[in-house]
Amino acid sequence: MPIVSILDLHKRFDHLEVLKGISLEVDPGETVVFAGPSGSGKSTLLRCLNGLEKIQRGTVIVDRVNVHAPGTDMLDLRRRIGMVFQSFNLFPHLTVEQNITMPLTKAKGVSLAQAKAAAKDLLAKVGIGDKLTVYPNNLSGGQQQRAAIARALAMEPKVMLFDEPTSALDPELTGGILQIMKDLADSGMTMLVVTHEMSFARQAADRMIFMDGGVVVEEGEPSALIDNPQNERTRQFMQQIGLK
Amino acid sequence: MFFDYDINTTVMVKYLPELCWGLRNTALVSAVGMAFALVVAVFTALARLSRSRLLSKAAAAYVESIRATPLLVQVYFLFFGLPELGVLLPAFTVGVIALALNSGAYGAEIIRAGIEHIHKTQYEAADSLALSYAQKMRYVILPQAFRNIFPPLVGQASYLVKDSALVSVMGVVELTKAANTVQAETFRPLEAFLPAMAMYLVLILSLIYGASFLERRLRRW
Repeated sequence: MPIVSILDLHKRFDHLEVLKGISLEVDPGETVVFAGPSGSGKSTLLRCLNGLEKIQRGTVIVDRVNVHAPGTDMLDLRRRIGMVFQSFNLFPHLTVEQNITMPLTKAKGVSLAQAKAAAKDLLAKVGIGDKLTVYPNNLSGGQQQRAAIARALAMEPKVMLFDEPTSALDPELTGGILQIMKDLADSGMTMLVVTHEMSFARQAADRMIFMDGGVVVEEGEPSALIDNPQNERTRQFMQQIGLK
Repeated sequence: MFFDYDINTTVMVKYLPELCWGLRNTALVSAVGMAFALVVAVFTALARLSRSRLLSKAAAAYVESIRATPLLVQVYFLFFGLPELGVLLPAFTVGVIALALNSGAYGAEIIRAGIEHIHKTQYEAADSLALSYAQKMRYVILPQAFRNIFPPLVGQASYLVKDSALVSVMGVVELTKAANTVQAETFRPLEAFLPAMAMYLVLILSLIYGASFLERRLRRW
């Protein structure tokens, strides 16, 4: 049974329709990469999954919860979905450790001692175990994103959403983040990843979905889609990012 | 002529205890007023920014009616109006209420601006981490907002201290009332009001410098 089911999803910003009937399913443990030109609706699609965006039509079901049904317990849903943002979005007034322990204690009711233990453990795993008491503004972009990933993972989500996690990073810092994500994918986490990093798609993703103009244009095994796209728009896109 | 005036220091010293008592009450009514004003301001700001139109309009109506009327009239309104409604409170309490409601309205606008300045990505991060509205405001948005608006809030607090002079009209023996009593008894206004002004000056400057010292000490991010 799929852990994410999207059926005929439509999303409009005023008069601009950004998602024009998306339907797809993601199985538990699967890593799916979303690619496509900017404005194709990839990020918006992710944001509809945890209710950061409202939708006009269709159904989104995550972990058996109908996300956009009236009366849905959004807090309960969001405890099961982790999200990593392009601009990290750490809380600047809290230390790296507090960025993890605050949501863990407040939103999940975990004891402070347990939360601190989890923070220590996760920060070590993402390679910034020495930055517990540092404030985010004193970290590099790569370190901030590591902290943000640890923060999301601390909630022990069933699904992780990555919205262009390396787009704001200097090229030499992206590799470390992608490696963390690959390890996470290998560990069996269900991941939906919006990214332009085709190497990550090849190495870590089970499936790639190419979107353009608010619809799914083509999907399949990542290497096949990258090397041998069937659709003309996919082919153009792969050429363009290949040229960079 | 003016410079011939002979300051009578004996009078000043003699009545110093009265003025100190007044200063104590000014500090007290201001401090309690400030505490309540802060609470009023936070909730009014949240109400103004609320998605509920009713709540937002009600908060706006309160803020505008305070900002567009003189504080002295507000003080009279409460002092004479509350008893009419059957609410009998000590003058000191009425003074605290008046200062809290007045400063709360101005403070609400400052806090609202501070909240609006926080980028929406902070809300999204908080939402994605399953924080409730109250937790999001308490632990994410307000702490950041307060840092940005600290200077104007301290400014508002110093207005509150100065405005507390107006509660003297209700008979609260704060610094202004004490000084006025001294000059009425001694017919020596300069000896009464000069020390009173010095006391206000010291009180407000300690508030401003104390606050900015604290802010620098507490700033860690």
